[in-house]
Amino acid sequence: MNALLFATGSNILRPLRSDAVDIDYVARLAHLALSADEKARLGPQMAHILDWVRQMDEVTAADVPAASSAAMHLQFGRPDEPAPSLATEDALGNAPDGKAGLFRVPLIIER
Amino acid sequence: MELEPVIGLEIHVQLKTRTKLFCRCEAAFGDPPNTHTCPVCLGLPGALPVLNTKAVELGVRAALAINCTVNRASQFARKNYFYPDLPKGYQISQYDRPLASNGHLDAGEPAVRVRLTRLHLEEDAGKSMHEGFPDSDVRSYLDLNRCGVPLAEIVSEPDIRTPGQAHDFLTHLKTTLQYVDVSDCNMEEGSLRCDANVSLRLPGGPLPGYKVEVKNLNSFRNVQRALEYEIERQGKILRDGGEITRETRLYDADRGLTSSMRSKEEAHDYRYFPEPDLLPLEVTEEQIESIRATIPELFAEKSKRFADRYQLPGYDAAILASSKALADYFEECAVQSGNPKASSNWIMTEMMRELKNRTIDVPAFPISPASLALLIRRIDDGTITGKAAKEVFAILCEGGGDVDGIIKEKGLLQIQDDSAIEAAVAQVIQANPKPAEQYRNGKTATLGFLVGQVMKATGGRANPQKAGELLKRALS
Repeated sequence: MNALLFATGSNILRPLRSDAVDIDYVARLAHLALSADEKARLGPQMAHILDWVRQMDEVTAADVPAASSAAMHLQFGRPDEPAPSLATEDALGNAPDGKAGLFRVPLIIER
Repeated sequence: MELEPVIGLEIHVQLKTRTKLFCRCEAAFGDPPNTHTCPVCLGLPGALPVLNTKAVELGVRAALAINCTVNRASQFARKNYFYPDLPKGYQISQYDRPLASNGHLDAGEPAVRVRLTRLHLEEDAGKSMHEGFPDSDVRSYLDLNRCGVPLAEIVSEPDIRTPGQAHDFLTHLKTTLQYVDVSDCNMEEGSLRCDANVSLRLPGGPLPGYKVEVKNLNSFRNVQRALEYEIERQGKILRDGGEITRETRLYDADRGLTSSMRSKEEAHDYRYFPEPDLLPLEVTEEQIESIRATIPELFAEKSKRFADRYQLPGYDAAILASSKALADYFEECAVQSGNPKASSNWIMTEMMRELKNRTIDVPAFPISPASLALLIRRIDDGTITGKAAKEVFAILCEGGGDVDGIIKEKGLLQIQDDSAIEAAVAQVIQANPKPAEQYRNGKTATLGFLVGQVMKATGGRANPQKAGELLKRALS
C-alpha cells in the first residue's frame, strides 16, 4: 500500500525532499490563485504532510497484500437498480448559471 | 525511405447497465438533458460513490471475452483535471491496478494478433455543447446525464501496422463485445468510442520516440481514413528530415484531415491517486469462474461450427456469424425449417437486402425467424413455388399477416393439377411460335424463356420444374 499510495505518475507526489514541493505548479494544477504569503505558508505545510505520509515507506510491507482485509468484495457493492434522480431544476439550482434545462458555463473551447 | 506505421488503439465502451457506475441514476441515452443526475454524479460536497456490481460483472465478462487475465484485486483511482463536463474535478478510473490485463484478439485475414494491455473501469463525463445557441460565441452548455455512466476502457499494445488492420481489429472487438452482451457498441450513440495512437518507424526498428493521438473518430471507416491521412502526413515530415512531437490531433471527417488540438489545460499531469472513497475491489476466483461459465460461443468458434454442422461455405458461415443477433436468427430459422442451406440463402440475399434498404438491424426486421422458417417449409413441401414465396416475403416485410394466411388470401397455392399447367403450356406455345420453333430445332436454351412465360401465365403458381417437363413433352 505504501509504495502505491503516491507512486502514481504524479509530479507533486513522487518521492521528494520536504523542501521540494513546487507550490506554484501545484496551485496551477488546482486552479488556485495563491498569494505570495499563502505560498510561503502552504508550501512547507504540504511538504510536511507528505513527509508524514512517507513514514509508511519505513514499514516493511512488501509481502503484505494491499488492504486485503478491508477489500471491497463484489457483494459489498450495490445492485443495478435505479432510484429517482434530482428534478432538473433542483440539479440546475446548485449551479451558478443554467438555461433551458442545461448548465451554462463560459465557453470551453477556442474558436 | 521506407517507414512502418506503429498503431495502438484505446477503446471506450459503455457497459450495458441500468444505472450509473457509482450512483443509482439511470444510465439512459437520449432522454431530456439533466434528468438523470444526483448529488453523487454532480459532485456535490459530501456525496459518496457506491459501486454498481453489475458494471464489475460486465467488465469481467468483457475482459474474459478478449482473453484478459482478470485481476483478483484492483483499485479505483482519481484522475484529476478540470473540465466542466466533469463536475467533481476528477474522474474515478483505474490506474496502476486495472480490473484486467494481458489479453489479445486475433483479427483479420490472415489473422493478426493484437495484444491488449489492459481493461479497466471508469466513469464517463457529461456532454458539452458548443454550437447552436444564441450565445455560443461565449458560452458552452452541459448535459450531465452521461456523467458517471460506466465505461470499460480497453488499451491495445502498438501491434497494428496498417489502417486496414485497425479496422479489422475494431470490427472483431465490437463483434466480440456484442456477443457477450456487455455493450451496444453503437458509435453513433457514443457507446463505443475509439482513439488511435500512431507513429512511424524504420521497418522492424525500435518503437518511435513520439506518438500522435488522434481523437474524434466516430466510425470505423473514419478510424481507417484518419490513420491513412496521419501516416501520410507524418511520412512527409519525416522524409523531409523534420521532427514530430507528441501531440493530440482531432480528425475532421468532412475535410478528411487531422489538425492539432490546442489545449488550454496544463501538460497532462492527472495526479492519479487511489480513490479514498472506495475500497480496493476484490473479485474472487469463484466469481470469475461463474462469469466465465456464461460466456457464449464467440464469433470464430460459431462461424466454424456453422460451416461444419450446416454444410455452408466458409464465407457464408462467417457472414451469418458476424453478429450474435444474425447468428441466432439464422440458427433458429435453420432448425425450424429443417433446411439450413435455404435459410442461409434467404437470409444472405432477401433479408440482407431488406436490412440494407431499410437501414435497420436484425432485431428490427419485421419477419420472425419462425415465419421465415415456415415460408421455407411451404416451398419444400410444395405448397408454394419459390417465386410465390418471394411475394409472401415482400408482404411479410410490410408487416402484413402470417405465411399461410397470405398464401390463402393471395391465391398463391401451387397448382397441383397438371391439366391446368398443360393449358398454360399450350397457350404459351401458341403465343410464342418463334421460340417454340427454335427449341424444336435444337436451341434448348429457349426453354428457360418459355418456362418463364408459363410462370407468368400462372401467376407464379406453377411448379417451374413441372412446367419445364410439360413444355418439353409438348414440344417433342
